[in-house]
Amino acid sequence: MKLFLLFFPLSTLLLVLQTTLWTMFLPQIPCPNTTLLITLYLGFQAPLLYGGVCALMFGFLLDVFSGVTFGFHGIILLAIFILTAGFGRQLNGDNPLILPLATIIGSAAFAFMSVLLLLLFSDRDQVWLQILSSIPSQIGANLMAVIILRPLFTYLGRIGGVQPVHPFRKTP
Amino acid sequence: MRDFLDLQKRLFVLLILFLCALLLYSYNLRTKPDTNLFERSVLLLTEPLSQGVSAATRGAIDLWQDYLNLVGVKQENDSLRQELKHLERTQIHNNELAAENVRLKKLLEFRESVEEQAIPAQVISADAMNWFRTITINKGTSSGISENMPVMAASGVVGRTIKCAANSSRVLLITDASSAVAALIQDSRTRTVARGTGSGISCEYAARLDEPGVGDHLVTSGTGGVFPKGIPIGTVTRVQTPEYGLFQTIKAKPAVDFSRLEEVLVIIVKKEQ
Repeated sequence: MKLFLLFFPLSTLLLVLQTTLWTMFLPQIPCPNTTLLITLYLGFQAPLLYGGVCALMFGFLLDVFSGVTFGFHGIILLAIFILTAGFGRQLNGDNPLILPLATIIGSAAFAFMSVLLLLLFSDRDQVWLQILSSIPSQIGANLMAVIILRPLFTYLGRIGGVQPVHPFRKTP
Repeated sequence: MRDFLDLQKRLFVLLILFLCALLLYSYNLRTKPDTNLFERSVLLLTEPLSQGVSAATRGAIDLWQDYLNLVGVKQENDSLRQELKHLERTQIHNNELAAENVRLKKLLEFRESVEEQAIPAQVISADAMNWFRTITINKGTSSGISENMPVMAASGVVGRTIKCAANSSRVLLITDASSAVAALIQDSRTRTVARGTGSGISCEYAARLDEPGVGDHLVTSGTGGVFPKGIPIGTVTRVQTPEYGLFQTIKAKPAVDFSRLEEVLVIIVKKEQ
């Protein structure tokens, strides 16, 4: 619970700042997906069930600030959390290169899942090209953001009392 | 063995959670656009912060620009005076036309079926993701705004409201891929559906035999149920007529420059009972 109470306001604050300031000063540069970065971090650190609920809530939060249909980002971030928790925890989560690497893969996965959901469920047949073409620049923006925000995530994680948890071990 | 079963149990719960999220998304897609309690609460709580940050930044930018523009103010003043005189002449002409229109409407016993009221609002933020085209404005349900109301700028259609909280609303821009507006090409009277492509507008279902040209004006047709008739949407930039088939491909440039959008008008349409 403590982890959620620390990261939810942070995510909200980052979303408010990026929707107000980023578009005003850097309209040509893609905005980093900070909610995805927090979900990836929790994918390595938070217990499986608790982290899953957190990821879903972060997705719902992103739905308030982006997109048209409520629930869209919730599904994507939950799926990304499950994949990170399932595969990423086989790796050494304390390695400083792991989160940037996960950011590259996670950003691409986020875009592909968005395309898949939009093509399967809604009639946005023209958006897929736009999303796919923005993947490289989005990865770049997310990578820059994760390098800047990683120390803050680690600090908040430490306050939240999380330890790297292996999914095959019993979680506290 | 026990740990393995425990893991299976947790994965099963996550799978159920995932399916519930999928059902929720699917349900929201197929129902009338509405703002739920979670969305309302987050918008209500973040609105003062968004507005504060937006106002402070805009104030700082204005101050800097005022300083920079001070040198050219006199020259601009003269040209504005000239423009004002020209606009005054146009205004007189428009008043004449409006009076004539009223007389003709009376003559035809035309009944106004739509009563419109416009609420000015300021743009306070844009979409958090790069591939959606939405903006947030600083007026909401407390000002009488609700979902599916048309939003305009001085130069034309901006979009429609999709989520409304007490003091803020999110607007889906006409350039978003999920936006579709019933439209009419003014000169050729070609009926079409103006759909967003992210950066511009693509006109769908325009009959092949009609002959719209590059530079023609695209306006709302008033048949979609959201936008009143005759509001500018954009200008035709490309027309591709195939040899066979029913429809032609038309691309248009939006009338509104969305990168410089600061103030908008929300049209409150009250249909007659």
